[in-house]
Amino acid sequence: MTEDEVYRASTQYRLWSFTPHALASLRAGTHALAAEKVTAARRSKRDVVSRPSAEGNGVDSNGAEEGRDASGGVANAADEVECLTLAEAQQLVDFYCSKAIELCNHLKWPAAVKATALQYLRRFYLSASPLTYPPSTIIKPTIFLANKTENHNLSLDEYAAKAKATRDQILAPEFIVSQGLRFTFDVRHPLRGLPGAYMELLSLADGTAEVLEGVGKTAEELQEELMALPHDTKKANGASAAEKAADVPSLKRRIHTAYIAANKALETTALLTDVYFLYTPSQIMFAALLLADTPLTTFYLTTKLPPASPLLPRIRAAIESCARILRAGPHIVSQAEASRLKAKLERCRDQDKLDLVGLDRALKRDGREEDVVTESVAKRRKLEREMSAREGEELFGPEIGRRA
Amino acid sequence: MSRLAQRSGPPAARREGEEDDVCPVCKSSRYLNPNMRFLVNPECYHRIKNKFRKQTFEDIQVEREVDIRRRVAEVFNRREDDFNSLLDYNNYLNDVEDITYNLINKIDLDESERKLASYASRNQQTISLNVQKSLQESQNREARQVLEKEQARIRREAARREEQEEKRDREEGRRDVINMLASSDGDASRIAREGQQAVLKRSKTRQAAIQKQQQALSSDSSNGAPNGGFFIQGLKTKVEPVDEGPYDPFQGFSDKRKYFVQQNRYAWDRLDRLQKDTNWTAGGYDFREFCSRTLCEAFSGLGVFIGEEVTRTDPAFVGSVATVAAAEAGAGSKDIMMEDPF
Amino acid sequence: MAMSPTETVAPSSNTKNTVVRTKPPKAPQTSNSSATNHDKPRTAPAPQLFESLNDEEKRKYVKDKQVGKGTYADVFVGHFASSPSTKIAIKKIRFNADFKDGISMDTIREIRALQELRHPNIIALYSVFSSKNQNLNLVLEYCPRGDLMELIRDTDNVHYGTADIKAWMGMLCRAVWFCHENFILHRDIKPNNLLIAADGELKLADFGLARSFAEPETRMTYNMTTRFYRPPELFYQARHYSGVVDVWSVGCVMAELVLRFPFIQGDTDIETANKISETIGTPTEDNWPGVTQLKAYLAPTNVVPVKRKPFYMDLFSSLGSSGVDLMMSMFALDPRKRATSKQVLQHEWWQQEPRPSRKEDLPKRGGGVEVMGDDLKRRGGELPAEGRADKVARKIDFGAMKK
Repeated sequence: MTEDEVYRASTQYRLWSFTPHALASLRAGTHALAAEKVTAARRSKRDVVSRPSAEGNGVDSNGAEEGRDASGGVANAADEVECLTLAEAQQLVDFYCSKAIELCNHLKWPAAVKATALQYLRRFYLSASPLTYPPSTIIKPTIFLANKTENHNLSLDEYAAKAKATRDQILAPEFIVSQGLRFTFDVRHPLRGLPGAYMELLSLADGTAEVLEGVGKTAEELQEELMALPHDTKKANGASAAEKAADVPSLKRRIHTAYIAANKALETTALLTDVYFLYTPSQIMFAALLLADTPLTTFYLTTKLPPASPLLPRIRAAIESCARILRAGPHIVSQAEASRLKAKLERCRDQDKLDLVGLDRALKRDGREEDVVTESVAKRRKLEREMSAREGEELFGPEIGRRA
Repeated sequence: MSRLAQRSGPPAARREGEEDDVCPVCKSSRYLNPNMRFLVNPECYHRIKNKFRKQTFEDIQVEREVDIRRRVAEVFNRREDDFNSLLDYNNYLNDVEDITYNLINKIDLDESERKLASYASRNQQTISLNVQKSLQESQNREARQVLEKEQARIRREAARREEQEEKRDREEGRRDVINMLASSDGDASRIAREGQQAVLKRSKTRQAAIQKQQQALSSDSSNGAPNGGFFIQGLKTKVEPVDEGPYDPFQGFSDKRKYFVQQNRYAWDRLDRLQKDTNWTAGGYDFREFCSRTLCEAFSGLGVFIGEEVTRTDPAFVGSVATVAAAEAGAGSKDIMMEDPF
Repeated sequence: MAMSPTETVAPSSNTKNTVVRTKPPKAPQTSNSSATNHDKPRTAPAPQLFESLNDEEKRKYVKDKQVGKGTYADVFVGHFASSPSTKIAIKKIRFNADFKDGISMDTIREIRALQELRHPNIIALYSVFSSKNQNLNLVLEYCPRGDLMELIRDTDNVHYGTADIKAWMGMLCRAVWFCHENFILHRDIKPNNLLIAADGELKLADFGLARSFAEPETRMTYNMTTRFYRPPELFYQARHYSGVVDVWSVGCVMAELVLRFPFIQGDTDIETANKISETIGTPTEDNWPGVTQLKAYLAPTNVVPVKRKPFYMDLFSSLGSSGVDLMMSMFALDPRKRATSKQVLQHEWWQQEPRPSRKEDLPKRGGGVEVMGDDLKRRGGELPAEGRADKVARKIDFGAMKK
């Protein structure tokens, strides 16, 4: 299979790729659904409260129905709390995403765990709303899940201790997050491909690259081209455009610098924006490299396809468009703003889901009872039966001729 | 799973209890239980209760004939698309019909049975292939039902036709006799005899014609004719599907990459060092595997344009790819193509 | 579906303009719908999008009857709601009250791997949805003809030849190769994880121990693969290994197809590791540089030299000289010298006579659906019990639980 075919078979491509328009409408729809529920709940509560001792008809002296007004005219002003807007909800999610990165960095989780956890969060909030599931309750369970799916085996207790949360706080939402993810646990990261690009660039610099058919150049020619590349003028590394790489080692240093910068972008910025939904991992990786060193990356791309290939300009366009998003960076939400949003959320949360831990316990209790009776339980019940039978006997005295 | 369930022909012809049950003719009587549904013993077609098959046709003869037709059809099951033209196909059908006629009317019974058996044994593969083909085609339940109905109808038609022809023959014969008797004052018995002979002659003529045809055909198809002495004209020359070329252990899948060629060595010091370190390699860690993966990931989706390919605009994305079609494709004989058809 | 038990659909109130008197509202936390006293019809609180998506998914499948029951999972046969004649298997993984760490690792592994792998010789995962009380339902391909182990062990009724072995091996090797192509290690290849579909195609199942290839630094678990099929490096607790661990298992299956019993057996890990030493040959620094550094390496009491071709030809002559060569390449002690899954498929054995049987012609066995139920309900790494029909006895007999 070609690399593109491999990607097309992935759940990331099939389920979690969107056009910008689709992404926006998905989020809007999710938010509207949640907001409607909150508003409806609020309205009913308000209406009950507004007729404390209603008897009989409940229609007021004016014949008008109470508390019916769309604007809730009769309602108490204090109850009239605004719901988080769509933009605010997204900001809150973004804020907690950056918090999640901080947490992972602090605890030194592997890069894959961090990246996967972030994508889980962003995917989760496409079909679930902060109104219903506040990010503060979701990020720790999500990171725990990512630890598991990325084979970074940590027991729940270990994790809970490190993340400073209780077992229940982590376990309770785990299933919900999995559901929200549609049980697709694999995330394809641009980061994984970076070492591949790196080693190829090094070999190109060395003159030992194996060139693809159709590119029409030898390894030596490519090496020369590479050597002749101008420096990236956008970089403030002191090098002027005219300066060329003196030798292979300095070329390799240049490549290494680009690698480090791209790595950083892929570990943070890429995770905090929507690029995973809009572009493929390869395009994102190339975009990060492009930002790190434009001439280098542009050259590298030409070694991947025949010069006349119609794919080349399209790929370049996709990479450049992605790079623009990366360059713009994520929207930073200040701590102050986040606090304000959190407070607002508290006032308009979905009341049903306030206590996820309690809900979870209830679910599991029910679940356990519904499970097939295990041997130990069966034994116990049998014993109980026998005991009660014996008790019954004793109540009426032992059978004649039989010992109790 | 599938074949057994689909083997049903028209209900009347389904044989159950085909084994060696003795026919208790005259042991049980319908007079004892007139309300009991009459069942037919497939061996000798006597009416017996609590036997194998329900009698569908009033005339026991028809029942038998239907059976014979089914038996023949199971062997001579070439399909229209095996033939170059409709005319050839119809000729084939005609020839099959003649054998059937012989069997039904017990004309040259041994010869006909032999032909049938011979064709069956020599054409096992084609026959079972055609059976499979027709089974596959009639997977759609509606189509199958229609097909069954049609086959039953054809058989009934054929049987009826036969019966009518015979009846006509008899009628004609009788009429002739009556006419002769009426128009002359000859010996009645002689006339009757002559009438009978006329009928016989008619059938003999038919026989002779058939025989001549068969002789002519069989002389054409000498020395081990593939169809067992039954010449079929206009058969398409079939390319044997068994000749599929050398076995491909990959079955069409390939690991050819588009955007890179994997090298044996890269100019990356760290990698070089690790590759020589038995701490990693003694357990079998394979750096080629590592390189292969990171390179594939580096180009995964390079030429995939989400904005253009993903037409999904609403949030109703499915939980997983599969649809019924995928399930059937996986279970059936088709290979799953690499490119996702959805 | 994992809905909150307190979340209820609001009853639609009557539409007339009279207000109906209702009970006073409950505490806000528990319900938001019992406070209805309205004339205006109230819309039910819509579920979150992912909940309705889950519901929608669930409705696509219909359970017909249960065919397997275990502590880990129950297995049902069912069909697509839209196409009743197309069958499926549904593996319902119980919410395990005893598993203290949330969703179990093998469930996660299995789902993760199968969601990404689609190949004719790998069992298809059509969907995953949740039913009430956090039960996970995996909708899998329907494989009614049992598994390969059944065919291998039923020496009385099932007879097969080299062409059949070749056909099955081709299917297995392709499945393994495809996993590796997608950078996934299966780590539990054995005959009872090879299910047989209705058309005779072999399907690799049970990805409960699977994981993706690791970075060089990552340490992997060594306690993988069912003992009889485990390669020596895992017995020696190597933390960094590769796809050839699966290839060793494939070699074991190939041998078992010929012998009709497992080639390398033992009651404990140590015993089995010694068996490898006796049967294949003793790993030494000579034939496997670096082996003595592996953590659990035990210097053997007597060194058995690596067996050569005549030994294998004696046992496996029906495979032919080339087939034996292939098998030996899969039993190389040093994983670096072992054939990769790609090299296995490139071997000349596949091009030689006899040609692999067509799948329609492969031997079959009845009673498959129950076998499928048994296979799917197991957890990874379990050895099947001796008598498959012995389900009842197995349940009661705690003492004889093998490890």
